[in-house]
Amino acid sequence: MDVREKLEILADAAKYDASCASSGSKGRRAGPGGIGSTEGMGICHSYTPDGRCVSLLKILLTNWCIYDCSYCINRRSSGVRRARFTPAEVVWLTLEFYRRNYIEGLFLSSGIIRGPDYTMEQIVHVARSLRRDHGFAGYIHLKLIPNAAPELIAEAGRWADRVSVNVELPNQTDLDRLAPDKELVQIRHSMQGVRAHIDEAKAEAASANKSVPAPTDSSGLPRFAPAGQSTQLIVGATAADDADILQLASSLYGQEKLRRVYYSAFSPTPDAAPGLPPVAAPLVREHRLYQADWLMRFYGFHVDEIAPANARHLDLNIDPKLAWALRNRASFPVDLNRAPRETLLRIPGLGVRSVDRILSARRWRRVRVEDLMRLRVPLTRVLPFVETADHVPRGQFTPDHAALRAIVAPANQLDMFAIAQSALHGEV
Amino acid sequence: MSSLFDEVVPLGAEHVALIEPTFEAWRLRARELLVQGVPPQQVVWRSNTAVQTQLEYNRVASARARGEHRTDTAVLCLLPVRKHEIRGVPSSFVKLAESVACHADDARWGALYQVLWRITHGEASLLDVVTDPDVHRLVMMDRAVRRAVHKMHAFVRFRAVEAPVLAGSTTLGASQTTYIAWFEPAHPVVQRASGLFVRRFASMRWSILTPIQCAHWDGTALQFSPGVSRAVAPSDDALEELWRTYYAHIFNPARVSIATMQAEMPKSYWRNLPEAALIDSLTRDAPARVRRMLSQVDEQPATLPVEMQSQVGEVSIPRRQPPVVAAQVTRDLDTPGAWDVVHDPGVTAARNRAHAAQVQDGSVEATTHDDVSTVVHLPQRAFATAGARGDVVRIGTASWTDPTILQRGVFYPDGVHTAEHRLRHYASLYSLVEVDSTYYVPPTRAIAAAWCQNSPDNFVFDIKAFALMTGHPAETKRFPDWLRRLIPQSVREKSRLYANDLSATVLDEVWARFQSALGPLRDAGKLGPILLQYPRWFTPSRTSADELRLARERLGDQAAAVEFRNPEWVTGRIAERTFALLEKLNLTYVIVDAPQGTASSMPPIVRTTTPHLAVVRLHGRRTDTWEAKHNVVSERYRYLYDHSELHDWASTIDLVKRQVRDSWVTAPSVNFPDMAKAKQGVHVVFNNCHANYGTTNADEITALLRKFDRYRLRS
Repeated sequence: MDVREKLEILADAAKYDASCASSGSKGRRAGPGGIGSTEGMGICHSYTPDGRCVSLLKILLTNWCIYDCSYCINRRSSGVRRARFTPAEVVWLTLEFYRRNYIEGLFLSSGIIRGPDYTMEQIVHVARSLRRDHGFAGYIHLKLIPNAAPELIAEAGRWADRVSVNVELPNQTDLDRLAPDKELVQIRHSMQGVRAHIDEAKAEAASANKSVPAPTDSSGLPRFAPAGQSTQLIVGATAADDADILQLASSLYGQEKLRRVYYSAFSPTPDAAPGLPPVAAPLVREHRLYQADWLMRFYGFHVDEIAPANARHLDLNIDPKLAWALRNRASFPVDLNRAPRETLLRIPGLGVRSVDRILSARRWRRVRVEDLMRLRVPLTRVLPFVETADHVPRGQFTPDHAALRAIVAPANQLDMFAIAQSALHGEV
Repeated sequence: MSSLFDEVVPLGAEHVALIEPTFEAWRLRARELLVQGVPPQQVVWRSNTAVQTQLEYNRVASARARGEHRTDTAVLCLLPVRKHEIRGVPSSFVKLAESVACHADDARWGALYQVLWRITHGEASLLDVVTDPDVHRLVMMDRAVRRAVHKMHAFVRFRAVEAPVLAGSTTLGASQTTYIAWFEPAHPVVQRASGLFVRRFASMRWSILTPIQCAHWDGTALQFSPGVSRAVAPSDDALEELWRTYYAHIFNPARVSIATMQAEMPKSYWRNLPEAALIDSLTRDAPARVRRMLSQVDEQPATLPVEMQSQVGEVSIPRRQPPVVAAQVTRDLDTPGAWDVVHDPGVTAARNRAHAAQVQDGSVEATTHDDVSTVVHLPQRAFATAGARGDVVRIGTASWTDPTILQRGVFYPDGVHTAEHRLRHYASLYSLVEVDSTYYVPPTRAIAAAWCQNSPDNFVFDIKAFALMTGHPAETKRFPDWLRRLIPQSVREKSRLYANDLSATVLDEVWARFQSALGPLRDAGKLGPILLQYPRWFTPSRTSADELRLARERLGDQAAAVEFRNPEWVTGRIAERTFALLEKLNLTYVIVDAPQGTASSMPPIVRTTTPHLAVVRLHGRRTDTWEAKHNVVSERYRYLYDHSELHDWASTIDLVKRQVRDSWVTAPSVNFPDMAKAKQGVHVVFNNCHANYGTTNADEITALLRKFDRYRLRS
């Protein structure tokens, strides 16, 4: 089997993993004779017709697997074609693609062969060879194998910008059903281990200037996964509701200090396993979850505000911030010229950037409706909830009017564009 | 260039500022004008090239790309040479202006001067007011330039060549690989964008050729040269085939969104992207690929090569899903219910679930047979025998002969046709069954003996009481002869009779005969509790309590379980009295899972009223058909519990099991002279007996409970 055929099979096998949507890391440059750099923001080198960014060479080392997780296309009992790259082939492909500016780097995952340690060793081998033998300074994202030996995990973090373990399903019940070999406790334990490594590396880097130099790579970055760790949750493969999913995400951000949680709407795979729904989960649900995720991380919302007990599923028709506002109408209208930042952030239709611009502009003059127009905020959605120098909500456009929902959330067409973009920026 | 001066100078404009199109040139001229005090409206800014507008830029760029190369001044956008500020101008403006200067539109110079003028004339903080129209215009231009830079970083594609193709670049060594790209930026941003390429590809020799300006890196220094035509650039690279392969296979055809792709990768860039040639065919074929993907019949999984097999030392059970046998099953049974595909997925999906649970559990071994009946129905999966620590959970279904389970391909293997064989088959897989036929027709000794004969030693029958015994109507035409003879003349014509229609003596006889018919089972130790399922109208009252006392009297020592269909029995203060009464009468309270929200819905209260026995009955949660007078009984039970529902019950049962087990230790069995194994433990009965739903759930919950046990053993 030649490299091209392997590439076909092992790219196919990797395409359902969305846990690597970004490729930004701390700035880093190659040493003499080396190649590559990472910038603060990752670059999308291409887009496929599904609207998704192609930033990394995202492949599996092999899609052979000794496990049998039913949601997974590569499960042992699946009839897919199988292939296995040698580490040298992956190194070669990465470098050749990188030199031609096709990619930002490598995302490497693998089916489990022989056992967790052997597989992890193979993955680490590729990263080690890229970094050490070829002076590669591009982006590397490695998938961690939960039960692998701590030394291997530690080495993976030393070479990689980012590491990830996919939780895939929000609770053990669902895992038991679809991924009997996965243990949530075990996964979170791995994540905590990684977090400890990251904290340690950061602490050493921080104290470095005082005493002896801390272990860093050639560019002076802490040696452990400078871009942190991420995970992926599959949405819609089981009955778990949005509150379950967001609770888990919130706890992963809080306890394991994950950089990102990616949500992937379940889509039926070839040779689908029993026990899986025959239909894809609506993409809009994925979109709403990303919006909710953004609200938790950047807008100061608590998960219980976004998905309270009486609304455990996010409203698919309106964004979660608008839904919150409609549940909490007494908090509005908000005076754009007086309210503090955290209050402005809770106004439907205003993103972080718009809020910061309003804050900046209002230091010099009172904000008016025409300013909002120039900021290109969605006026229909915003105006009922705000007061400006020349505007006070009136009539049915007041926050407590019964028909308000119908006005701010007309039976709108689903914005497929926004949906496809939401993993990158979940602005609401 | 002469055309420039043919244009009419706007009214009121006194100065024409003709500059090189660079930030530095603009800065020098702007400073002069500021010093002279010339207001923006009196200046007309011109670049001293033929290029003034975005449109024109595009036209010139594409003309040059085609090789129609003219020798006039290239549009250059130089990086700032040095920091030299005009007093009072914030550095943020200089940064913004550097970027805006790389915009293709000549209007940029005037726009910059306009803002600069206002900043230096009393509006020092103007840039903070992003809502100001003048500032806004610069912000938009800045954004366009950034985007052009970003897209250049993204979409430049190098091609490896062995010899330098660019004349005049003396520094390029002849023998080394040089990487050459042809690119057409949306704005003249070559210089501005080249920093990243220098950082990233420092050890490579590369050139980026564009129609406007070219950048060259020889490993040590960056040089710029005028634009060239596309013909100069190399036309192919062997790696592009691999890159296209990757592109085609990382694309998920299930999620086509052309608009998104084009918003981020506008068509104008496509002609220089090797992968873009595939977009049309990928898009066109996507729907067909999705269809193929979903209809794909599972191929035989390949065997894991020996060198990749598990070496962790755990037992690795070869696993395999059963082949789909949908063709054998009646369409109706195999079509997912429109009401809820998760809880009514059809026979095949249910079977696959049951199998998956067993495979996971390790209770089914791999097989090379393709015949599903042999795959699914391997023996030894019953979870019956008392474990080392004395737990007994028996799991089974209510009846083994519902018409829907008898259909070919649903549960029984081909060749199992007789009643006797069916029971044998069922009893080889499960350790418990609840007999429901006795509700309609009282059993006979002969039948009980046959049941006994066709089941293994450790098998248990829970028997549902005849309808008349629990106040339900019974159909006279199905009465046995002895009972028909006992019907009083006055009601003999009625097609359905109630207990009230009969005298206490007759009812005594019914109870007695019922019990004695079960003799063979009792003698063999296979008789579980008699299930007294009372109707909805059996409400908590003194009469009802008497009725229960009478039942206990009539039953003698026989174990029995009581299922209510009126939630008042377990509501509020009555609840405790109910449980106390049951405890006193030694009647087992039946723990129920049933559809909620109807008048007869029992809440899933977990309570044990007898020390050694608990009974759990699961009826499905099909609310819409629960109380409907449905013509087919099994439609009411057409509900497959999902995994999380089962998980909840498994945890509960696990708890109940421990309670019951503990009671064996603490409570001596003196109260139960006839206590046999059959009347101990937790009996879990799935009454969702539509097709293989009940058996599937039974298999799944068995696997779950075993898993819990394994965890406990491990910890």
